[in-house]
Amino acid sequence: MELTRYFRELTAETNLRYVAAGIVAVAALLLVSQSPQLSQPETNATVAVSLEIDYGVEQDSSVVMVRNGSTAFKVLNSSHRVNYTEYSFGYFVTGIDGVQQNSTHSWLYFVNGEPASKAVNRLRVYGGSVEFRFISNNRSAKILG
Amino acid sequence: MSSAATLSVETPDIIEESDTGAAVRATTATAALTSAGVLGRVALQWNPSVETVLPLAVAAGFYGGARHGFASGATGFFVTNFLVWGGQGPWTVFQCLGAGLGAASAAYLARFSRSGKFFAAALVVGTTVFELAVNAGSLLYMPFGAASLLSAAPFIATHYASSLSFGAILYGTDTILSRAYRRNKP
Repeated sequence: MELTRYFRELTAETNLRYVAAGIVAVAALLLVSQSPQLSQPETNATVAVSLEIDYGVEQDSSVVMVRNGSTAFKVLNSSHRVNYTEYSFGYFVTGIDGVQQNSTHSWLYFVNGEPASKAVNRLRVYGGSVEFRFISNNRSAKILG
Repeated sequence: MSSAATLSVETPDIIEESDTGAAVRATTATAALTSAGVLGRVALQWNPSVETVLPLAVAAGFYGGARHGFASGATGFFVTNFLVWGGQGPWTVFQCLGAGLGAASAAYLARFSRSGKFFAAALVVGTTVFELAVNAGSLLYMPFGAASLLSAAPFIATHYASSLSFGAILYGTDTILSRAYRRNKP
């Protein structure tokens, strides 16, 4: 009862014309600004992603500035020469800077220290780290379980 | 008769709220505005530049004064960066400074008038200060700063529209906010 009275007083003190106009304006703004995102889901903000590449014999570390929500592939491809094969599940990296996968070693990638769960062109990053390791297939099998 | 008159003088009808009570009320109002701003920014993070921290901080500055505005803007961006994509980074410093100073500038405009026009002006000035701080800051840590500024232009326009739209909702609660901060319209 007290709560009802409180809300009634609150409503009486609110200029509903302004509130309604504001809500309509916000809704319109959300609709307008959302429409380009349907085809381009990345947000505008630029984020720093730590990119590490372990070639097996040497390592390379860098920080890549990309748009928030960019794919791991874009992070890699923006600063390195990449070879890949396209499968139904997405891209699979076969070579980085000329270091090609072979019968014993292949490229595996990790996001924030964890083995990636999606193809490199389907996993989006929002900061953090992306690491590509050129490791033996035996080790890959152990990591991926 | 005379004793009744004496009694009415000794016990005034309206008990003035103490300074401490008013301060607690104002701080609570700022905390509520900041919390709403944080929740809104997290909820709307998928939509670039449509955010609630800055307009609510400007409201805190406009109605509560420069200190309330600065605290709300700086705290709002610092806290939300723990909860949104992109997280904390060098941009946090510029966001906090931009929002804090932008919201504090609203207090200056409020000295002249607390009309809707002045509140709208405070939102425009606050958003301008924020955008200047954030984009000038990005020149320091972004590899292609100037190009980034150009690409940010459409999102700056969205930010102005966002601030004014949320501002309209806030101005609808003008009486409540004025009472929360115990301000009379100049």
